[in-house]
Amino acid sequence: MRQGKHTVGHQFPLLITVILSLLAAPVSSDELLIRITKGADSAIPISVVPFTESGQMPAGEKISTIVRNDLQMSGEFDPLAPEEMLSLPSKGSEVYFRDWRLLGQRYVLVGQVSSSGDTLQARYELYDVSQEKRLAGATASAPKSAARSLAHHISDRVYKAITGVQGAFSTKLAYVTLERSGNKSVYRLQVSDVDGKRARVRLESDEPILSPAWSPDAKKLAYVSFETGKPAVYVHELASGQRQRVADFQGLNSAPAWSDDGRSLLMTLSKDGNAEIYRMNLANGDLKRLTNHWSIDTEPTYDHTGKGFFFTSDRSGGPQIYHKSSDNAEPRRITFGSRYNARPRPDATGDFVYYVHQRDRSFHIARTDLESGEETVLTRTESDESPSVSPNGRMLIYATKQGEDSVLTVIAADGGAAYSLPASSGDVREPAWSPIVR
Amino acid sequence: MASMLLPLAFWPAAAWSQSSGSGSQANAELFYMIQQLQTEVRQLRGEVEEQRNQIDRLNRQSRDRYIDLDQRILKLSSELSDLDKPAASDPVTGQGSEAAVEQREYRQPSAEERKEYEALQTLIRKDKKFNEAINGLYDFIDKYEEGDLTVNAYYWLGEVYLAENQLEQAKQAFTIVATRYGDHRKASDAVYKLGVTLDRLGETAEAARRMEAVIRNYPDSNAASLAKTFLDDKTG
Repeated sequence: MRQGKHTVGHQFPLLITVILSLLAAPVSSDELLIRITKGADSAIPISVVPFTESGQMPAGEKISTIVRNDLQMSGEFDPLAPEEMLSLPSKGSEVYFRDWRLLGQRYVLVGQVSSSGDTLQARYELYDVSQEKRLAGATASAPKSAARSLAHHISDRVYKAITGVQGAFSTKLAYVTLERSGNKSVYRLQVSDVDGKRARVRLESDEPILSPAWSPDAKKLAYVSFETGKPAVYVHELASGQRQRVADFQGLNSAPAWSDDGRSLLMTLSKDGNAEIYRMNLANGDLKRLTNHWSIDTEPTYDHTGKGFFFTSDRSGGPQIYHKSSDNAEPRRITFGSRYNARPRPDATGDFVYYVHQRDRSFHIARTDLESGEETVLTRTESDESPSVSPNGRMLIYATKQGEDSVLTVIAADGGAAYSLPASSGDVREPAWSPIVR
Repeated sequence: MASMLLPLAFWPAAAWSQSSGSGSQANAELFYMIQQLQTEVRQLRGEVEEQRNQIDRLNRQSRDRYIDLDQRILKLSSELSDLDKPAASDPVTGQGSEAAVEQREYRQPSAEERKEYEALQTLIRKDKKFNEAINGLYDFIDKYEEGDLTVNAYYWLGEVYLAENQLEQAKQAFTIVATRYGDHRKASDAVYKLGVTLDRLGETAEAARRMEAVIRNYPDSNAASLAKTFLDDKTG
């Protein structure tokens, strides 16, 4: 152990080169596959008509297929299978509303994709069937290599036009996979699209990687890695692959969470003997201690105001969620429903806080309405952990057990539809949903 | 979850390592005692927090129940007054539920009560902190029952709800003053405001009925002339 500690320290530059070479690889083979496990009862019927294509199309899924899957994944839509469509219009003048009404559709999305040189252009129009009205329409383009980004962009626009809420399909997921072969374990920190596609390995290590957290500009990840034999907090710039070990104190260095200006991190350190929450200024490494209690205080995360924060503390026996409205405020207990509530993740509006909740010896994801204090258990699976809310507050991703393996599951944030994102191999855990970058 | 367990493992180890030499026995006992105390403090803290939460919940529930009950009484009394309707032309029996039956003596406020009331007035008129005022008014009503200013507090509750456009709640508050304290000096204003609230709720016929009641029951009041203007505007 002690031996390993020293050698790993010297290997550090080597690790960086490994990461850089991984970055160069286009796409990892460890793509996640979406599988729908449960549809919502109140999903909106929508038809995403296959877009007509002209010119040389990039390989892979069609734009309209990606859009259809995105909308389905949100749990708020129930897209019609193309085989069941009576006609396949590609522009507004070809849409016969009567046909779509007959199929019970509320919205129809039509479009055309064309390619010229390296550019892919999509022209799309969204129609409200009952009002026979055009709701949205635009032309968007992207390099051929970014066809999926183009599709997710259209999904965002369609979602916004219908629900009034910003779509979150162009955001990213970070998660950690674990592959075991014999005695060897390989942990990989990966970043993918929200639908699990275009996964890329950002860090590979024989030791655990935990708690990835996105910076507000979605350009960096902070996480805990045990690569030196003990936990340390790292900040990792995704574009360059450059990493910085920001917290490597004696004892525990864990649970980083970004401030909304991206200049500081909340984290749990036990350098003063006991697990407490600190804020680190990333520019100069200055620390401010924010909790002071002989019990364990950990898992901090800023609330929507950016001034207060939620955290887990066992000061009342078992772990419970507390909130401090400012650095110096008295902590207020949020959860009362059971003996174990941990890992708080608030939404961006301050309406709900999501967390791991133990009931009858199994772990579920629950949320508490911060206004009324009402608690709702959202998941029916067992051994659920690591909730992360989509930046628009409509979807929730968490890790759960499926047989021996850990898989990621996406549910509607109110507990409706559920989708699993099983890894093609091994365990997936510690998901983190990136912010929407404007 | 791992992060919760790790420090538990560290913490006793660190404390034990300090206890060495001849004092180790005493230190060990002290350490054991501290641990026991910590466990107990944790447990007590948990109980205090849970009880505080329960009290908050009970408070909220009793307020909700109160509003619910009031709504039902309101419904009942309006049904009752509907039963009286055929006789509405009769000035004696047709006064409905807003009748000023007889003059009552209201309990005069204590200095403290008056001070709290004035603080609420500042909150409403000057600071316009309506949400805070609503809570304050409820607390005031809970604390000082059946006093002169209690009726005022109900009336102002109605005003604040009206300003906040919470019409159902405003309706309830004004109805309480109008039905329960028909002889209070605020009653005429309350019946008038009840009419305004009903009008905003779209219940124009009911609104007109209240306005007529103000004019009939409180002919000399300021509210009566406001009610006349209201009716003239509606008909004219």
